[in-house]
Parts: sequence; structure tokens; C-alpha cells
Amino acid sequence: MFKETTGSTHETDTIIGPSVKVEGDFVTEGNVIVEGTICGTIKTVKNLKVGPTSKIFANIWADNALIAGEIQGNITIANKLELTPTAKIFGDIKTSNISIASGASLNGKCQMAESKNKAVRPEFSKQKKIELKSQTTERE
Amino acid sequence: MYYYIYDNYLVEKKYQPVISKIESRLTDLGINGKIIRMSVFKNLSKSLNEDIAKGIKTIVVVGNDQTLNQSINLIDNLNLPIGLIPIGPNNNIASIMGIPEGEAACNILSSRNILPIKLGIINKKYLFISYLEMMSDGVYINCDDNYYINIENRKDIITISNIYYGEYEDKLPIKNNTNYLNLIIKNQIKGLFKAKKESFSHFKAKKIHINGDKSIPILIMDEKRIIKTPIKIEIAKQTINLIVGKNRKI
Repeated sequence: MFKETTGSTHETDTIIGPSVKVEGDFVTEGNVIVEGTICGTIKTVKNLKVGPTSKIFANIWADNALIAGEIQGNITIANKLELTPTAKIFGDIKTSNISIASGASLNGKCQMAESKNKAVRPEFSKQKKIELKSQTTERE
Repeated sequence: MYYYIYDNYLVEKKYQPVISKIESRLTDLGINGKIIRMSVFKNLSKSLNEDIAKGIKTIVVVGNDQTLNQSINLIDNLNLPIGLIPIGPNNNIASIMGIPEGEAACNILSSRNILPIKLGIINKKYLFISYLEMMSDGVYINCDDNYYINIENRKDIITISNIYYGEYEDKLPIKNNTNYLNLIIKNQIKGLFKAKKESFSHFKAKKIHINGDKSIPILIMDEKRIIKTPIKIEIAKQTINLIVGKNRKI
């Protein structure tokens, strides 16, 4: 993701610098780096990187995301979401793969996309309950 | 028939040897034609468009980036192929388009490798081929009618480009694609005893609206113009068919 391209921004299409505040629906088809402030929505079919100084008051949709800043809004990531120690999330997360570093704060629900394939709970009700107390007294 | 537009600065003596070499090379190639010189006192547009109507098939601009930018605003029929012979400094467009300076450019002209290039347009009036610059003081930007950009610092430099060259080329992911405009915002913090810090923002958009309380001075390829707000900058419907070299970067 972004780790491979650090030092070079040539694969990035949009950079929102620290001196800039964006308001509205920000929709793009390329990689996005956010160092400033965004209010509204962010949608990208590629990768999103949120810097440690950035503040985002928006719902986010992206393919992969690396978050080091503060986000107030819901996050939907198709593939991998990475939260660094400085990340602060106030909202719900939907993703298929997540990595949370020690120190990151997450205040909201986290739903993994693969939760539909969860194991089926066996039916215990048909079995007789084992009364542990009675068994122990008989031995005595 | 070829039609040559010479820039005013080529009158200077230092350019005479280059021009005479170019003219003799053009005669050798059989592509010489009528020459018209730009002047501050003359309105070229009328005579130029009358001549074009008489059957000119190729227009060649002799000069630099500014000469090309001024020429595209003078010509009504931009469907004609436009050639460029770069002479002197400020010839960045020529280098992007793989056109060598001086006499060597004549060979590019004769090969007629044509590339359609979409232009930028300001307030549906003024066409531009490369970039324009302005300060961020009192400016509000709207991109593609989707989102607003507020710039906190008043001294940031805003650059809007169609074909880009310059200081940000290595620092930013700018690809020269004339289907959209590049919007670059440069922020510079200077401290008394600290080294200056630079940060950049980069956006891609097809339509950029600029609003402000007052008229904004804009530098269009180093030519200063004061334009009243609101300013609408977008990709123009007009394209130019530029004769380019094989070593072009676009």
C-alpha cells in the first residue's frame, strides 16, 4: 500500500495539504493523501492515507487505508485498514482486514466483511444439562 | 501554404543569425511562407484570420511559450495544424513537446507529427496552453461543483495548469494529461531563525470556480492580467493540433 511508496508521491493523484480545508463530496479514482481537514465525504477506488496532523469529519469509502490522524465518521474499506498508534476513530468501521497498532483509539463498532461466514452455533438445548453439583455430592 | 508568426523580441540583433539559418532551412525543405510580426501597436487578429480564410494550411509560431499562448488567442480557426519554432529562453512547452530549439525545429515541422492538445479557458474567453498563477488572498475555490477548498494561509500560491512544467514537477504527482486541470497550492512557512517549510496540495479537476471579494491579479505564463471574480477556469472545447517531435513527454 502506501508503505511501499513512501518518499515518492508519484503514484498519488490527490494531496490535501495541511494548509487546506476541503468541504463537500470528494470523489476520485486515484490514491489520496490527506494532511489537512475534510468535511463531507471521501470516496476513492484506490488507497487513502491520512496523516497524523489531519482531521476528517466525513464518511470514508476506499480500497485500502492507512490512518494516522483523527476521523469522525464511518469508514468502509474494501480490503485492508491499518490504524497507526496516533489514529483516533470516532465512528463505525467496515472492512475485511484490519490492523490496529497499540495506542490507536477506536470508538465505534467494527464489522468485518467475512462475518457472514461465521461458524453455526450447535444446538445444545436437546442435550441434557449436566448437573455438576449433584455429581460431586454423590462422590462424597 | 505556411504562415509564420514571429514574436516581437526576435527583432533583436542577437537573434538574426538564428533566424536567417531557420529561413534558409525552411526554403530548402520547401515549407517557407508568409511572415507576420507581432507588435504592441498592431492588431494582428483581423489580418491573420483574413489570410487564414484565403487558404493557409499550417500556422507556425516562431518565438517562445508566450508567443504560442498569444497566437492561440488570435486565431479563430484552431483546427489548422500549428507548428512551433522555439528561439531564446522560456521555451518549456517546446521541450515538453520534443521540439528542439532553432534550426532543428524545421525538421520537426516537415515531419508533421500532429498531436491534438486540449486547451484551458478562463471565463470562456481567454485560452491558455500551460499554466496560470495567483495568490490565495481572499480566494475560495470550487472544483467540479463537488467540493470547496478553503486556504487558511493568505500567502499561498495557487497554480492551475493544463500542461505543467516547473518547480513542483519532481515533488508532485503531476502527469501531463490535457483532459483535466492540475490545481496546485503551495504553502510556505518562513520562520525568523527556522528554515522555511514547504507543503503542497494537489487536485485534479475539469472545472474550477474561483470566488473572491475583489478582482484577482493572475499571471498567465508570466503575463499579468487582472480578472474580476467569479472566475471560471475549465478545459476548453477547442483543441490545437500541434506539430510535435518524437521525444515529446506527453
